[in-house]
Amino acid sequence: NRWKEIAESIVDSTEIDKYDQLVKQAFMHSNAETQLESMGYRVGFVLAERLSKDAAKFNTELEIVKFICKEFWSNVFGKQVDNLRTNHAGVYVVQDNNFSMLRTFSDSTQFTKDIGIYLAFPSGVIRGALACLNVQAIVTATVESLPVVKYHLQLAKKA
Amino acid sequence: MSKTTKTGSLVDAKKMSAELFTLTYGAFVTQMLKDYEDPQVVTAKLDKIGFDMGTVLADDFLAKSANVPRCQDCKQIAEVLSKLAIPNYLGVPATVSNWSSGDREFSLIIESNPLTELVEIPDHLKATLNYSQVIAGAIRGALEALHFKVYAVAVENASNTEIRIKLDSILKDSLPAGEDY
Repeated sequence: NRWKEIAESIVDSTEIDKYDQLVKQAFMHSNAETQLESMGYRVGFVLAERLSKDAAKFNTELEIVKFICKEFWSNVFGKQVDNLRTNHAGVYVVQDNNFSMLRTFSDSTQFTKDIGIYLAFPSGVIRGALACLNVQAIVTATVESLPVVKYHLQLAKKA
Repeated sequence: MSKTTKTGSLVDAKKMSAELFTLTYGAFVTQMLKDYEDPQVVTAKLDKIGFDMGTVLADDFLAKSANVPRCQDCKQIAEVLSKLAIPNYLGVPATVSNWSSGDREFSLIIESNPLTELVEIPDHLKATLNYSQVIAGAIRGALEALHFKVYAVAVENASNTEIRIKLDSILKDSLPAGEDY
């Protein structure tokens, strides 16, 4: 409804400066999912910092993703990932067949529609961990049947 | 809430990484501080969350520890809390001290509170935010489910967390806690 307020109050696009504060507020006003994601980002960043301090130097993007899937995953989510695939062009698909944060749900497709909010936090954790290791990425999760989850990591091209 | 093994994988699938837990709780409190903008409101919310957890934990506790006798006085409550409940659910031991008001008030001292590992509370929040109030709330909720009305507040000391508990009354009403009266 903030957007509506803005849309109604702005008649001329040149007037947008007048409503600068309102526009800023509308952007700041994030929903639960993005807030959870940003909480996860912070947690993942700090965790990766702590876990990677004794790790050998990473030379390639793949080594970083492997570190996330092995050491990081087993320390944070209790086990290693079950499958890691890549198209060698910056897209990685990480599959965990028994994801720790989904184990409390019954194994079925009953809740897959509502599961998004529960995956916002761990997605943020992974994005934060990657960011800590200097890899910017877009992390999205898909669930077909619980507790299997697939994370799509879309890494940004290095400048 | 258990320590990870040397290989890094967790022995028990039901347990979670202690660091993940601590950091998540920290991020959670930080977010609440941003949302409510008043540390005292955050403390109250943490207490409420703890209370709700406590009412459920009481059931779980009784189901798991069948040979614990019914507590008759505050001494026994303190004993069960420090020797069984806190080590079970928090993974660390607690000691009882500072008895006052005729054995109706005591402190539980938690030496290495897992919630405050890796945490530094900013000076301007120290007076108004009870960071570990969720534990105090859980104790209050659990005891209320067992018909003991208590006041509990968590105070951060320099080296430990002190949970001050005061027994108010023993409830006679048989309605389960959390239900509307």
